[in-house]
Amino acid sequence: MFNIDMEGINAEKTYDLIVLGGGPTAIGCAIYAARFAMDVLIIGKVFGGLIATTHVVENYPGITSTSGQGLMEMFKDHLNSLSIPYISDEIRSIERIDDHFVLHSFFQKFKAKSVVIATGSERKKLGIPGEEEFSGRGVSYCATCDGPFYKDKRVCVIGGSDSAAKEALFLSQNVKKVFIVYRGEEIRAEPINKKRVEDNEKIEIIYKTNITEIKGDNNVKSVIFDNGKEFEIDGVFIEVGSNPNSGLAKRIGVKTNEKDEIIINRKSETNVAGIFAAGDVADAPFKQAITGVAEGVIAAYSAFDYVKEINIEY
Amino acid sequence: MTISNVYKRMIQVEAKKLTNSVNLKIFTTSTNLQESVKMLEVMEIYKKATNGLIKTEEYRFETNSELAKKYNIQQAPAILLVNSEDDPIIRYLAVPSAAKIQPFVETLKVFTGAPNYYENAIKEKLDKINPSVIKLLITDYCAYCSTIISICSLFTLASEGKLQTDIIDIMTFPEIGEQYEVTTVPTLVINEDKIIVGNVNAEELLYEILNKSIRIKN
Repeated sequence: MFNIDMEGINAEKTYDLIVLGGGPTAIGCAIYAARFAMDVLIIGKVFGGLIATTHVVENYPGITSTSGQGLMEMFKDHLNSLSIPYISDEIRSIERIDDHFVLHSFFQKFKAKSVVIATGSERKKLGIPGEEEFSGRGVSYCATCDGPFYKDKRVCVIGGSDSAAKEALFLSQNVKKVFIVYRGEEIRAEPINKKRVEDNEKIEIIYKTNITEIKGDNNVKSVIFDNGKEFEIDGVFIEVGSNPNSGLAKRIGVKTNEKDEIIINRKSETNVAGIFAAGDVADAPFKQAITGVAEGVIAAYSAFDYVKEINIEY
Repeated sequence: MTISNVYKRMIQVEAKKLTNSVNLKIFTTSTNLQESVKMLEVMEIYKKATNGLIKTEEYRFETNSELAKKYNIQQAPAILLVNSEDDPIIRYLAVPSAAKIQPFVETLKVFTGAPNYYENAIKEKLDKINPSVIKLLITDYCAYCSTIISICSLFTLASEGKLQTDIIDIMTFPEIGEQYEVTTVPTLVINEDKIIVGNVNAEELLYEILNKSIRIKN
């Protein structure tokens, strides 16, 4: 039922709801839709979304501590128990035909009466010289994926968010030294993680500093700070926020704000009837797995209402 | 038992989805005894969970050198999925646990007759696909690896022998990771020529095996 398994997937039928996305928001939405007896299908690029790359989740009610992947395994079990099909694919376009939508991927097309866009966000890049060149050769965007390759090495984490702090904490388990390089005067991590960072002898924070270039030969060797100093380093982990994956939404006329986030109301409705949005791709100011799940649930309920109405009309 | 109860349970849940029998060849080695034992233990869990639908033939790498040569096995432990012509099409140089459980079972399901999501797209473009060996370098803690294992495996199964996929756990075979200087997973090596670093989707992989330009992405 996962990844590209065709079991439970029927391209000919019109689903009540297709949820786009593979993270907690999409999963929460689909679970509620299934409980509303809706025919629901999830189509996501990668199962788990960004949170699957988080090494520790400690703020999800009922779960004291788990890894992002661990949380996803629990979600997968939950979907399995409700026989909710999931497919790994990327929808490229959506068109409305009469009372339903047709969703096109490169490989398949699907039909649905309603759509929830929960496509989340993707990590921002720094956009500096050397970043692209050394991507996969010392530049990484996932500490849990790539951190173990840097045993006893010197690495830096670029950014000052809670995610950056958590990446540094994870990396400190293996590496010789972690430098958090942050342009601000104080990292913005949750107090609990900030204290862990401060108490960790392997972590050092370099404040009021930007990186202007990443240098090396075959692999990363150093970074250049904006004060001109060259700083020797073996790995650069970039954690400078994320951009909403709203490209598809924009192409089909869904309104977004200046940050490219989909504008939704309290019912998770967009400006397009039958299209709902939730989670990191939407315009909520505080983005967490738990808030995404809540928005996804609201979107499921609104989609249920919407489908109920069009079923009566037709 | 070297496998955690969490993974054991995952295997039991996933393996129940297999409905047809499948034969696998397993090569073990005394030079990597710990992983060889782990692979055999894990495969026993699969075999029990499928009520014998998964059958294995076990070979010692050291005493079956001709057979290993025939299947181009240079390292062990390894699991081979061979086609009707006795050619290896998918090789796991990896114990199918953790993130590999679901794609492993999915591959076996499709190999034994379940529908393949990519079949139509691959068959449509079969003439343009160059014969390729895809080496997929992964680890257990990579969030994106499960999906790319599935994509590569299903492409291979639909390719009528044009593609071969090797799934290599570079924590088990660090020398292979070092050979390709891997610092990011997943890393794909196509025909020892193209190297694709980071998460890649099915459309992008199809583009690569249609012999388009070399590209590094993340």
